[in-house]
Amino acid sequence: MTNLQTIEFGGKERRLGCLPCDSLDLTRKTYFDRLGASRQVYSLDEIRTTLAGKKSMHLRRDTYAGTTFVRDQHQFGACNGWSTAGGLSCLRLFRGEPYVCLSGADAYSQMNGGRDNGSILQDGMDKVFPTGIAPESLVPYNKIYASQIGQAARDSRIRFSGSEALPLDDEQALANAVLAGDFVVVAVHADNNFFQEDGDGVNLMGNGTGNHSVLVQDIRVQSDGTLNFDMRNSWNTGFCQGGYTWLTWNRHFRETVKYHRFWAMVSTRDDTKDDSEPPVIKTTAKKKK
Amino acid sequence: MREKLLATLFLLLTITGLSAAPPVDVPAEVKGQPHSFIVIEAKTAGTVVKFVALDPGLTVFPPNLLAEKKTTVVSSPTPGTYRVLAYSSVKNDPTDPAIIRVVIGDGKKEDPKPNPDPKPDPTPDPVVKVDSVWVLLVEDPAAGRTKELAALMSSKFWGELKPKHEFRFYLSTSEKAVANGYTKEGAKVGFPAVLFVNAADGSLLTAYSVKDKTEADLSNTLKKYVK
Repeated sequence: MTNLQTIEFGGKERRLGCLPCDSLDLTRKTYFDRLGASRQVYSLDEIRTTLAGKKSMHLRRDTYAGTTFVRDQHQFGACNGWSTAGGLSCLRLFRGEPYVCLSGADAYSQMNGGRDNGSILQDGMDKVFPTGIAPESLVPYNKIYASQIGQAARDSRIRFSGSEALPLDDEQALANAVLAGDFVVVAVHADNNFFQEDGDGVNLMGNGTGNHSVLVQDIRVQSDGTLNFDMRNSWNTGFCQGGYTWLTWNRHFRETVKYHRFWAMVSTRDDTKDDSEPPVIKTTAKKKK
Repeated sequence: MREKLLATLFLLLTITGLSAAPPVDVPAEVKGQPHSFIVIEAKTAGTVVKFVALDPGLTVFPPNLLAEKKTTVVSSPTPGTYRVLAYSSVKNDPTDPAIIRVVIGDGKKEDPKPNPDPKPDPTPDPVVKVDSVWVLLVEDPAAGRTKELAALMSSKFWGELKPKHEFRFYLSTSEKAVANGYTKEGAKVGFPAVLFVNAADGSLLTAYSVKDKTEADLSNTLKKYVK
């Protein structure tokens, strides 16, 4: 095990487990491709106008019932699992499902081939999201191998699964997706400046091929018109702003997008076993007067 | 409202100095009986005078039926005091407006007479108020989500529904939405659609498109149908 880069943070050596791809699969239908002729697509300028004067579009959805969404991958190279699990947990809640904290370790176990040597973003979209992820209560952070996942956890995955996920390749698609409320898994290049921000809270890490997977969940515009994307990390709440920091396309994504397939989570399946089951509609005949 | 618009228009014209023609000369008040024809004559250098009823209940004769273009006839079946606004233009300059009081009968509105043979109004079906609801929002995935819809879906209305009520967001193509009838009902009113469903028995209380709707609209619907 160990060809992954590492970086020291919070008293732990953090393994940067987001693996770049030399060639991305570009055949798949993308975020805008799925939209029909009457589709609503905003230009970046329209998005800037929409956001002008606002703190952000979604007011940084960061807690539920007083509990933070930020998780901790600890010393494992499981970032891709945690960003996928974090997004799926929150998208379910956004859709009205009861909140269930899903396990980044279980998600990672489905992508790492039995080794703690990282994973690729596309596997999160293609394999994990539709299969589903077990709750963190069944699979804690240190159970990252398939052999460690019990049958009950495996059986639970389908209950917490996604139904539609789409890749996206540029700033306009990312901005449209996040504006719409979708959660997007992206790659950044964590370096020694990863823990620092400028006066506007924008992260000071640089561009690179990308080595760390994070979740994007909100969007705002700076006074100079630069769009910022709110990133949730998986290194506990001591990182930057309670576990969050702001990113820009030019500074953080324009290189990493070449080597990693960014993807948006659009919808999830209902959990057939939760207590709140939506009813079948019964239409009643109108009374005659 | 109409009166205010006309008054504003003429005020602006006066301020800008565009109204240079002398005002239309009309009587300050005319009187008549209910149902009678009351004549209002105006004097002006303009060739045509326009007359506008400012209060409901007073009828102004169609001007094209009158040969004299500086005169009108008004009538009302109801006693009361009404107002008519008159204006003209002289050499492309509008005149100041003039108001004529029209006193019908004693000028006082009388109380409506009781209907000697009252028939009860048809009673609308009472709104069924229920204990709890499911609020379901159904979108067309091919349309994309507008920023207004995104803002509505992020509003606090949804979080405040729980725990008494429940909600879900669906794509119209999802299996559950199709199987449970959400897509069918949503298609009737237009996507994106919101459905309020009685949690007790699944009956559809109401459904409508949320295009151009606000958080307040959803809240009002909730109040209408929930005890």
